[in-house]
Amino acid sequence: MNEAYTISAVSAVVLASVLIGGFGLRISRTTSDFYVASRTVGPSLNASAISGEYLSAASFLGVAGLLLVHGPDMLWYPVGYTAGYLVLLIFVAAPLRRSGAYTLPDFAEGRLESARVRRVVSMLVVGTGWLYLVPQLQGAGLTLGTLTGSPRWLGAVLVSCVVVVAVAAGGMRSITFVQAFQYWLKLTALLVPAVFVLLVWHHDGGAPPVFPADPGAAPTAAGAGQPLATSRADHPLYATYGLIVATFLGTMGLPHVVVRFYTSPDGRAARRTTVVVLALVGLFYLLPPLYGWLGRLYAPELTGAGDADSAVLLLPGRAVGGVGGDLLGALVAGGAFAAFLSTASGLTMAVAGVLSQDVLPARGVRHLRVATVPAMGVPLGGALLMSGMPVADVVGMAFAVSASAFCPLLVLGIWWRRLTPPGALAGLLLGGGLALLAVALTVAGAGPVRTGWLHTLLAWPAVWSVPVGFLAMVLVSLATPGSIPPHTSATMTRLHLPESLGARQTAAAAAGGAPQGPGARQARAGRGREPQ
Amino acid sequence: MVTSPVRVFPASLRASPLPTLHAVSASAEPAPRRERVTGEPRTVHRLPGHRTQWEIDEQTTLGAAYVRSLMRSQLRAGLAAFALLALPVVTLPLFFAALRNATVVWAVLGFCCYPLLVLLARWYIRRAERNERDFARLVRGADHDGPP
Amino acid sequence: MTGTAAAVLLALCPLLLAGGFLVGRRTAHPAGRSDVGSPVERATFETLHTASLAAPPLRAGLSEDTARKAVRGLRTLLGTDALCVTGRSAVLAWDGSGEQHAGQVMEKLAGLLATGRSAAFDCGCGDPDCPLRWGVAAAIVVDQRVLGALVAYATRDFAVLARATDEVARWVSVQLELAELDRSRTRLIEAEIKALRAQISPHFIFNSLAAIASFVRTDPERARELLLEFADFTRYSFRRHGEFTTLADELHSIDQYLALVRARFGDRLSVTLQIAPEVLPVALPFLCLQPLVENAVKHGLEGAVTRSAISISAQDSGAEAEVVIEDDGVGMEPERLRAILRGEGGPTSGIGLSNVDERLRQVFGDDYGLVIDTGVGAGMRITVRLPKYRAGVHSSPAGGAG
Repeated sequence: MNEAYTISAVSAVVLASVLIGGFGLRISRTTSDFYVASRTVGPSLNASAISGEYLSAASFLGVAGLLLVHGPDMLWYPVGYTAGYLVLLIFVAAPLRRSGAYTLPDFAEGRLESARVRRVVSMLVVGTGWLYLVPQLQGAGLTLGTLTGSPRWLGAVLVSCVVVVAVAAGGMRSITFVQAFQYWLKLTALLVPAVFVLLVWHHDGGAPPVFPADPGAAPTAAGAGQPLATSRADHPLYATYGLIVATFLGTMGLPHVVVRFYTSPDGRAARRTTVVVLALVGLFYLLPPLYGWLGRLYAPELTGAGDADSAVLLLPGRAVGGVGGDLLGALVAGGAFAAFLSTASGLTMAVAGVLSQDVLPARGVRHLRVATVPAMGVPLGGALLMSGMPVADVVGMAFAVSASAFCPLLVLGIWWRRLTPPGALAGLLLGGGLALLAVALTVAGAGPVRTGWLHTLLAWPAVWSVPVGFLAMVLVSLATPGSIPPHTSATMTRLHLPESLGARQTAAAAAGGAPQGPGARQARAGRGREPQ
Repeated sequence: MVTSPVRVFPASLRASPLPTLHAVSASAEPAPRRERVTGEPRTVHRLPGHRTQWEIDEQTTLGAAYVRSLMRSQLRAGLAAFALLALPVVTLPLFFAALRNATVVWAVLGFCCYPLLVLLARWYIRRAERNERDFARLVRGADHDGPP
Repeated sequence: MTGTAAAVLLALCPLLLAGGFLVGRRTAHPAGRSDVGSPVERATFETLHTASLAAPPLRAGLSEDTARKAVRGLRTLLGTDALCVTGRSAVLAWDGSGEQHAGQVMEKLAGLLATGRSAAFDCGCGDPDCPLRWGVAAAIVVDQRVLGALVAYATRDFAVLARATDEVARWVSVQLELAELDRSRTRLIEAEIKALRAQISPHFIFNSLAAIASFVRTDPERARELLLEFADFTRYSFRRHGEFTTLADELHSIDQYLALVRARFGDRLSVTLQIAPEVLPVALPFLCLQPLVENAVKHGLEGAVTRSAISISAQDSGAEAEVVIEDDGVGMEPERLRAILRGEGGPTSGIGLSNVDERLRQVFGDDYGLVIDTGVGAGMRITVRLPKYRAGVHSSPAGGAG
């Protein structure tokens, strides 16, 4: 009964994604209607797509699970995921779009004019992408396992197969429409059951759930399976700051987030899109805490077990019960799969793009398809190997690496003219490399440091690795003033100049009364032709 | 005399008999095969043209000064917004730790902060777009030959 | 006490002296200069000003019109009674008195025009009151070719004038050389534009206008729309600035092109467009796809085919966009196509194809040439891959296409 609903809901989501992907392309036989409709993707559609891609398993399942176990301190996760977009808007959104870069390596190459920086950025992008893919696959295994009793690996393998096939076959060709659809699906999948559960709760008397007063007290029961949880217990305040720094500054460097900005027609639209994303993501994040809160009431025993992440999936069944509960549970499962599919396919596309362009040797038309296999294979292996960690924690680590490596690169690259390739390399390797190392040690549960300050520092690296990244970049750049890229001034102009002006027109403006070069004259001639 | 479309059409039919042949024997023979053709590699260095683009952009030394002032005003807007975000974020965890009241944490972090984030974002883009508009006006004012 | 005071004063003396010296140097005028300029300076300024007035007409090249505009300024520079500017075969302009001498100038210049050496001559004027008794001529030389001469007249032989005429002729030569440079630059740009224009065949323009004309009576509204499409299309095709454009703009132009083609062929041509919105901002060389579509239309409607279907798709493929243009027309012999892509196809066939192939390879590298699947009678499928980002490839501001 339960299984049948779940399986059909999951299949429906997969099918709908593939179908919308295939037919979402603007097909037109009359030619004229295509252009009007789809000259570029409008801010609201694009914002839905970005939100759809961004809201991953960590948001859908992980946040509620963490809240259930650790109490309201964990609310910093969704706040950080949202505020990350604000920081992105403030420092990065418009200039990144104006740079014309499609990926972070593109940006690095365009700004610093160095192939070596590009290679290092590529490797870090692949590393971050893999780290982010692992929890998506874990979440898929957990969802399918919880609802149908299948073994944990099945869901992970299923999602990776669907994504690899869909990406490689071009089945999700129109990604924007798929992702936009999936945002609204995810929102519905959490909103409708939440309304029902709230009604039931109200009917039951509306007693608020009881959380342990000291957030550090509860997780002792969580046991050794959750290394991050124990480190939280040791130093909750430090962990909170680590989380804040990682999520606030890490969003801007996530590979699938950066790629999306390319779709905006110009910098101004990129900014406006980001504001809509902020609103959409904020709207969505009102719901997971609700599940965590009510989960404490209806599924309190999950705090003890290792799989608090399944709270969202189980809550409707526990609270409502009967066929209604089953149907709502199936809806949530469908939404969860939408979360895994959208984030995983976005990430796989981004990682495969970087792999095919910068890592694998060029081999003609098909190499993107070849690249999807390692792009998905490595994280699948990772997901099968380490299954004990909470989904949101692993995602937090991906954010930490992104914040340490890419935040300094983007912020300094956009706002500081004196950044040099050696400086960028130093910052990337020291900040990003150390964060990656710390994460790797934590994930591997490296022998000697299972408790204490050192473990906490390694588990929440952002607090120290982000300043290290920034400092290394600034100091080494200042020490190597000779290697400032030759076209820095032109690049900065392109990054910051509103498109309505355009680089050439400023050339004409600047030439004012001075003798004019041929460029300036040409620009003026060109402008004279334009419709006013 | 012979340029009516009716006459031109069969003429061209005669000129190339292949498609007709193909149509007749379509069931018997497989459709004509396609072959893949690509040009021969040219060992040209990438893009001689892209240097001119750079040169044009490079000429704008005065333009760069303009852009620098735009950057400064945008950075100021960004830093102001970031400060407005960072100040409460830095102090709130300490405040919550001192308060030890879960309900306040739920209310602030679970609900109240999202509208505030959106409002801050709106304030920022207003200011950023105003900066860009002012800058555009400044540049157009400096350009005497430009449109008013 | 007084001893130390005296010592301090003594020590201060050199400092005071040095200070006074510095102040003095700051405030004193250098010998012979005044703040409002010496006569020499004023003369220099005047000369420069006069020269700057004479320069602009010369920058348009040497012709009767420009010579006439420049000659007064040049005579002021030289301070002669009469000045003449000639071409290789005729007097272009004369300023000052004694214009009746103009008829005899050219015969005195034969040697100068052949060798480029300056020459002086007596006027041989019978009139004793005529102020023009002696002339000096200097060649105007551009690119080692003598374009003409500058001839100055005086009452008697006059070394300063000879030297001055030489210098002014050289200055004129430099101005004309600059003019030549300007022109060759313009020619280069025009050649590029012409190459682009060659891709829009004149037939297309005539046929479009004829098709539009056919609607003027029956369906004026459609004729108006088509005319606007035509205007937009040509404006885009002839635009002069920017090497790169966006896929959105290029596809828009193709859309207009197809609307015009369909106005002519009606139901004979069916077109399917499949565009993923993600790839619309991709930057690509200007007018890169339009020739391919034109090619597909031509192949589709060539021969006996009564109906032809063309499909154009632009899809997202990770870090690249993939554009496919396919027709079910007559196709092409693969060997012939190879020759065309090598640039050996002869003047009529597929210039568009090889030009596009070459430009794509130039801009994006050899991996990004055209990939064409075709055979005789098998239609043609052209695949273009475009990297979403390539350093240095940025579409110019889209203001004009809005």
